[in-house]
Amino acid sequence: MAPIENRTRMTRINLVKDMAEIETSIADATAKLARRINIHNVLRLVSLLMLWGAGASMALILVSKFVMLPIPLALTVFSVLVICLTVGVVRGMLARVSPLEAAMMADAQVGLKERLSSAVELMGEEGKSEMAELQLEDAADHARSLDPKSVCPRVFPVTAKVLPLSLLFLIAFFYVPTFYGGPGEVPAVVRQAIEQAGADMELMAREMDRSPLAEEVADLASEMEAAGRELKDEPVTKKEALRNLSNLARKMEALKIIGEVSEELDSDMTPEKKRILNELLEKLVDSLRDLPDMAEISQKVVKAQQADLSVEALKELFDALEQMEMGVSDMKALQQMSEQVAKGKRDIGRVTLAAADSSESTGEQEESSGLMGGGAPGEDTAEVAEETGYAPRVPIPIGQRDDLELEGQASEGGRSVPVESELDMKKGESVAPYEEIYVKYRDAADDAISRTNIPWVYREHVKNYFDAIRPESETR
Amino acid sequence: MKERVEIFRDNFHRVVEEIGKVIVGQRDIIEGILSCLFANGHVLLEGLPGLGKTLMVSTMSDALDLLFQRMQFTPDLMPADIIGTNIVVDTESGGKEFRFQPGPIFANVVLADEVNRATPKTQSALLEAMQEHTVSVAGITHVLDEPFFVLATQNPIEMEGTFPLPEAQLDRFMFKLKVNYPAQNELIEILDRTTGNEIPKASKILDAEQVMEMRWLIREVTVASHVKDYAVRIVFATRPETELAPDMVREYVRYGSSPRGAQAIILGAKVRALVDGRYNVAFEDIHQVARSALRHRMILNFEGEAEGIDADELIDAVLEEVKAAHAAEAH
Repeated sequence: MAPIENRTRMTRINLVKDMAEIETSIADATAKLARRINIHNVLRLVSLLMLWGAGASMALILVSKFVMLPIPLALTVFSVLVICLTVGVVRGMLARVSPLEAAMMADAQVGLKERLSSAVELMGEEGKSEMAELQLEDAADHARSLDPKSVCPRVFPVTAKVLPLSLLFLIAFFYVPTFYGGPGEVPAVVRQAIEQAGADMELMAREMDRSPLAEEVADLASEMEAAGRELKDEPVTKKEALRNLSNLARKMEALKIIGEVSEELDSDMTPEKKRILNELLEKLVDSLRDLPDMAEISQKVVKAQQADLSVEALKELFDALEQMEMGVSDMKALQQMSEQVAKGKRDIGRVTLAAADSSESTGEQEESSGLMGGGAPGEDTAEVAEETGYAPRVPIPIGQRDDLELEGQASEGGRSVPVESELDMKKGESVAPYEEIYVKYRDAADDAISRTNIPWVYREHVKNYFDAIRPESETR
Repeated sequence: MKERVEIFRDNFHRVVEEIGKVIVGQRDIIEGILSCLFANGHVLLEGLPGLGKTLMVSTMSDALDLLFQRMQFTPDLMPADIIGTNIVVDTESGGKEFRFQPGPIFANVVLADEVNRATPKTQSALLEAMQEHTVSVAGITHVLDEPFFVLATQNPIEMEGTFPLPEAQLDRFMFKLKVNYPAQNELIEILDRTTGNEIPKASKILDAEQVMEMRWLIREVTVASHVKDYAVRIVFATRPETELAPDMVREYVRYGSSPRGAQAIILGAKVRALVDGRYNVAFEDIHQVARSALRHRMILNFEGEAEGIDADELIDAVLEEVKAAHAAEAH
């Protein structure tokens, strides 16, 4: 009896051992297959998304070749690609296939008639029937001969192979020259001037931050720092740069006038003092216009004016201004900042005019036959002149709005075409006499005409233009 | 076990071959009948007169060493004519007593020929026998011998004077097999075999014990849960109120398959798997038996009846839908 029992026990042990081997071979085959499929899936999703991202980036770069975009392009493209990569990896990891799913795919692809998937499911069960063991054995035979390539032919999908090429294209796109043709164009020299003005403003504002200043002045310094950084780092247009600087200048001017008003305020108001104060308040109201964060002061000033500078109204105004606690150092800081902003405006204006001169002299803008109004040189010069303060003394029909209609002075028989400009200039703000500017540019134009080969008809246009805008006092 | 599976396959093919000696073609029908026999189910054969339905069944009974009974169903056939009745007999002691006289249902293979010609009352006499494999007469339940296998035939035309089987009766049949016309070359072969002096006859291949052994083996075949799920989806898709149902089912079906439909699919698929030399059921097996298992379980609505929709078209739509959904999920 004993030998028979031993033999039976040995047979059982062998069977268990065989079954373990069978299950191992099935598990190995399905795990190997699942790994291959998972890698393929991750690569497919990543490459697909990155191809999409590269496509979108290329479109963005292409657009940026024609239109200046208000975004840092390289950083945007890099971010898009990183996001695509991350999303692809995460989605790929989340869509991992289990060994059972891999077995099901193998069944479907290789025609195993659910042998492998049934076996994977049976493997976990306790107390298998004889038929189940036979099924496992059958599945193991197929699993051993299963080539993962027959289920998932490529680890690297086609999209992954195309991806490097598309990325190379993307990089190449960066080197395609720009074709700006619209009003958003900023010549390199002007861009440089804008960036320089921004850098100077930022530097000065930082220095200001170190010294103790009144809250309003400190806020203004911070604002100047932000504006400077924007000019330095962001692709702002010339118009935007000048508008920003003008806004800053107005705020500074308003604060300076507030300082002066504070000095003039006195309980004992003589008529002379009242007159001076009234003038200052007029200027202050003018400066505070369109500055919503200083609307409260503006209201109080208007109230004081309406009350004919009564003692009560002046006291209220005095209290309000006192709260600002502006001292000598603040006024000095304001002056410095104001000068810096004015310098920035001047520099940008100077460079823009020089660029306009240069393009005029090289005949690049010969197409602009409507020199007065629609013509680029006239328009550009007028626009910069307005925004930088070098403004001609021209009638301003509507002084209370940003968009002004500027008119030259037409001679008898001359044409007059209105020039549209975005600016909030007011009468009397020019810092250079119109006659002076006129003579300077007329001489430059004469010089350019005499030195370069410009068609007669265009020379006449230039001559007519300067005749049309000739100041009354000027005699040629 | 491996040897037993081999024997199963061998026996199955031998029976098919043996029947094939008499019956020309119709291999699918023969395999379907045998699948039902080995899966412990019953078969409803539908076909035009003269297509060899009765011959096929009698040939099968020849190939199996089983007790075969044929009942020709007619309108005047009574339940007692099928299941038997108590009759008064003289005892040896000179007295009289009631003794149960078994009807033709007491056999292993019962052919209910033209089953739709009998009245519903008589048809229902088969219900208990088919489901429970027992017969109750005068309060006494008589157990039928195993294997018990009912083959019923019906004619799809000449519907006048017939009593269509009610849904409850139809549901008892595991498969409904449609017998079609033989192909041209098959008809020539039929002529050769039946118009000469020698009429081929099938010889005994299997006995009752072997059939029971094969029945037991089928139940051992493994079915993975995702394969079962697939079968369940198919059954669910036959029901117009479910989300899985294709548009055609929603439009033309009043009632879909009962759970017996799913049981029939799985059992039939198990037979197919063993015949194919596998120990597990595949989707392919399910597809192969789905039509036979479901066509008599799809009850058409008025629109379906009016437009003459064939249940097989509906099942094809169901299979397509489920296959597509499964493929989409796997992807």
